[in-house]
Amino acid sequence: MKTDKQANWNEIFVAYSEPSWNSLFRFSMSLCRNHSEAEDLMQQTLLKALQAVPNFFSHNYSASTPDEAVLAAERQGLSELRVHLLNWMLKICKNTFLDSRSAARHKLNHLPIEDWDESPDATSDKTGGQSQQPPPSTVGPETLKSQEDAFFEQALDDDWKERFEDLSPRQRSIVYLAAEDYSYKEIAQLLEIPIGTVMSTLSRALGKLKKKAST
Amino acid sequence: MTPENSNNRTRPAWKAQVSDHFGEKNLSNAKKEEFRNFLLNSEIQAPISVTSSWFTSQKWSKSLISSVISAALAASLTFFFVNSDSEDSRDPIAELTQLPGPRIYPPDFDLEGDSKALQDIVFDLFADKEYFVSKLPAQVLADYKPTEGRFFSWDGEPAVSIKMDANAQEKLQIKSDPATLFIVKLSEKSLRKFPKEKVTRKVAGHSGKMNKVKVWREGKYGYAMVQSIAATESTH
Repeated sequence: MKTDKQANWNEIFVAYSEPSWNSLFRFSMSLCRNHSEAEDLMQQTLLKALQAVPNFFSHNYSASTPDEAVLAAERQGLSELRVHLLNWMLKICKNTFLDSRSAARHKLNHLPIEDWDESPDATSDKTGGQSQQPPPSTVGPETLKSQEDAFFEQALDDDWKERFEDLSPRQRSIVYLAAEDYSYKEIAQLLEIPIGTVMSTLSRALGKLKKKAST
Repeated sequence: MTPENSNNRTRPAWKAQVSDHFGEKNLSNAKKEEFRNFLLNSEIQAPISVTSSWFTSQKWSKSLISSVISAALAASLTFFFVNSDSEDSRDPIAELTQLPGPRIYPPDFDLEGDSKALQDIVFDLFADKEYFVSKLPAQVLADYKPTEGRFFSWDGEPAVSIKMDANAQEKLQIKSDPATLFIVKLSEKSLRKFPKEKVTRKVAGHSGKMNKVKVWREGKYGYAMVQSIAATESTH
C-alpha cells in the first residue's frame, strides 16, 4: 500500500519527466535499433529513475521531501530542471543497456551479441577499412569540423539509414546525441567516456557513412 | 549548449537528417499511458529506517537488537582480521598481469599512424594532466609503438591498457615480443606495493605461461609493462 509521500514522489517524477519521454525513447532507439526492445529498455530506465528520484533531488537540489522538490523546481526553472532530469535519465538508460548486454552475454555463455563499441564490420575496419580515414586518435576539433563539412557537402544518400544501423551502439548513440546538438563534453559526461573517445568515435562513425556513401 | 538552445541555421546537414529521422520515432499515446500508470502505481523502495516507535512497540526488540549488535560486532572483527590479512598478502602487480588488456576486448582508441597521440588520449583519463605530461615513459616509447588501448577501472581508480608492438625501426635490431603497458592511478592500498624504482618480475599467467613484468611508480601512477616470456627464456 502506498503512502501519501510515495504517491507524491511518483507524481513529481511523472510530471517532470514525461515531457522528455520521447527524447529518452529516441536515445533508447539509438542504442537498441528495435522498437520493442527500446520500449523495454525505456521502461527499465524509468523504473530505475523513479526509485532514485528522491536521491536525485536530495543530491542535486538539497530537497529531501516532495514539497521541497517542487520548491526547488520552481527556484531552478522548470525547463532547466527537465534538461537536467533528462540527462540523468540518459545516463541511467546507457548503464541499463550495458547491464542488460552484460547479463545477456553471461546467460548465452559468451555467444556473440552486439557489443557496445564494436560494430559488425569492426574487423574489416582494422584490416584496412580505415585506410582513407585519418586515425581517430589524431582527430582534433578542427579536423572533425572539416570532416563534418565534407560530410555536409557530400550529403546523405537514400541508404544512409541502413548504414546507420550498421554502426555500433556507441557510435549510434554518439551520432544521435551530436545530432541533437549535445557538445562533445556533454556527450562524454553522459556516456561516461573520455572526450577524446567521443571525438574519435564520432569521426569513425561519420567516416563510415561518408566512405560508404562515396562507393 | 543544451539541446533546447541549438541554432538550426548553422547546423550541418547530417545533423538535421539524423535528428529528423529520430524525430519520427515517438512513443504511442497508449504506451505513454501505460508508462504513466506503471510509474504512478510503482512503489518506491524507501531507505531502511528505524523509528523510535518501532523500538518501543516491540517487546522482543531489546533481545533482537542485542543479538544484532553482537553479530555485527563479531562480523566486523572477523572482516577486519580477514581483510587486513588479505590486504597484506595482496599482490596488485600480479593482478595486473592477469588483466586481459586491449588484445581481448575491443579497443577504446587506436593510435595507428600517430603514436604520439597517446598523450592526448590518456590525458583525458587522469585529472592532474600536467604531472602526467612530464612522466610519460619516453624510454618505453622509444622501443615500442603504442597501437591501441582500452580504458578501464582498476582498484576503484581510472586506468588504461595500451597494446605496445615492438618498434620495427629499432636500431639495435633486438627483436621484442609485443607487450601491454598498464598505467593505473594507484589507490592508497596499492601505492605501498608498487616499487618506486623500475623492477622486473616474473609472474605466472592464467594459462601457466610466464609473464615478464617491468613495474615502476611515478608519484601516484603505477606502470606495468607486461610481456610474455619466450619458451627459451622462461626456462632460465
